[in-house]
Amino acid sequence: MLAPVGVLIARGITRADIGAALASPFVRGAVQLSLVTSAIAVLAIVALGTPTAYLLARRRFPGRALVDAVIDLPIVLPPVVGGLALLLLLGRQGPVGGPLAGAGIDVAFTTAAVVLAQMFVAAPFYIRAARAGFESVDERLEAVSSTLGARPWRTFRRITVPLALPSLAGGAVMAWARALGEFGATIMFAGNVAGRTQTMPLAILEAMEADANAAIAIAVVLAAIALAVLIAFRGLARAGSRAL
Amino acid sequence: MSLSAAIRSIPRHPVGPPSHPADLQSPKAPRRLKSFLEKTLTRANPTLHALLALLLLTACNPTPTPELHVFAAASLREALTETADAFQRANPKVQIVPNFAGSQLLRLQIESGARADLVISANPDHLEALHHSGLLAAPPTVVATNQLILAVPAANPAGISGLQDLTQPNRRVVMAAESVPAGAYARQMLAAHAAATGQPGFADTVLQRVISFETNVRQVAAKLELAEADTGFVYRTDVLASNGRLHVIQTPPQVRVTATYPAAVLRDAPNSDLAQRFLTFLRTPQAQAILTRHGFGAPA
Repeated sequence: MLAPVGVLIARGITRADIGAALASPFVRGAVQLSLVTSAIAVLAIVALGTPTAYLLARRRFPGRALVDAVIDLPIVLPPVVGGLALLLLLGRQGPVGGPLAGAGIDVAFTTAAVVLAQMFVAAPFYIRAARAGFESVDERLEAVSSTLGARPWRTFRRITVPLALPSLAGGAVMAWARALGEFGATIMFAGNVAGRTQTMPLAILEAMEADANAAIAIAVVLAAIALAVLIAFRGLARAGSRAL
Repeated sequence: MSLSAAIRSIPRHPVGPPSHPADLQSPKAPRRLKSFLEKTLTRANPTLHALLALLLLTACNPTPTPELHVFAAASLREALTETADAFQRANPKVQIVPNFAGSQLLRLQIESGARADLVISANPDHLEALHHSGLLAAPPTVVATNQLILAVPAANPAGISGLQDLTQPNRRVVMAAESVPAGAYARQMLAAHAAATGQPGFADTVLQRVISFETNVRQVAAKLELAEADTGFVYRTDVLASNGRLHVIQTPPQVRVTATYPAAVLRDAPNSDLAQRFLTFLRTPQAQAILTRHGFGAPA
């Protein structure tokens, strides 16, 4: 596992002129677009995924098993299939994309499509971690909080979230890494236009066909981020076990 | 008692670190797998034994069918498949294994050491590059020609009637990336229209309307067939291959762009004699008739 990544980084440092490649507008545009879209995707995942994870961890409701199973679907579904499915749903001929296009809103082949594709593939990683985090919080702590007069929202904010925080942060970091690396769903659903939908993985493919050094430079950046994510995740896991 | 004091007074329960989000396996999984493998492999298992016997038989086949690996431009898919069938009928011992992709990707694969006998590109540039690198056995030979055209989905939802319509706002254009032959030809057509009509900014305006630069021409055709784009640049042959889902928009002769398809045997071809025979076959009247039926032109 280490060998190919090691060679990539070594090659990037010794031969490919990373500095010059990173300064090129082509690579800078891709890096910028990737950072912006993946950040928006993670914020949206946290906003929508946290309540979902909490409900799955704490409440019994009809269809819970189904929701639980469906959330894992993007993990096992090939991303390119997810991208085609998103295109068929939200493209101009799709049951949702059609009416939206009628209202003047195009989703497919826009930067918004990049974010949606990233959310689709990355959300399960956050929801799974957040759910495990909420489940690890002792329900009696929440019970005590409410017997002392704290309203549910205050209990959630002051008791549940702080105790589950390492899991939430770990999940968000993993989801971000997955969003940053998204390729298959993006190229199907968002297309490939520099500066608008060409994220770093798409730029690697295009650069390979023109300037391999640029491809290696982008790949080194992604590999470095992946290593940083791994270190951060392990740090959060340790912080989690220390705090409890 | 304050809230925090109340909480501190509760006996703590050990709580583990956050579980790995992609934690798909229980610690028991490896053990279960092991016992499954042991059972399957040690017990008499007729299905498994039959499969193993079959594997051994195929592995020991004394006269293997020679495989001819043909790397061909994406636009050749149907035409080359049919030509290969005709060749295989005449040479029943030969198995042609095609690899269809954008010509720039075929070149990249060959440069990276992919096993190939014959390569057919949709423009001369990529084969010339391979020739310069010494990867071809002989200079390329042209086997077919094609016409780049402006195509629309059969329903023509945006009412496109010519190249000039592409400059209108909100037009959604799709084309291949610049390194892809169909993308380079499309840019040639835009430049020709700009020159013919005296509009220096024409090409840039159209490029701003592009919703995606695809990696091969068939991806362009797919976006048009799904009507996700209003119009795009493909080959005449792609419109024929779409079975009526795409229509050609007529363009004046001044902007005509002809694609040439050179082919060459690779220097390191495992079956170079066979590759040369298939290349010769591609230029016979029989093969040319198949190519013509799919919309290709004769080698110039």
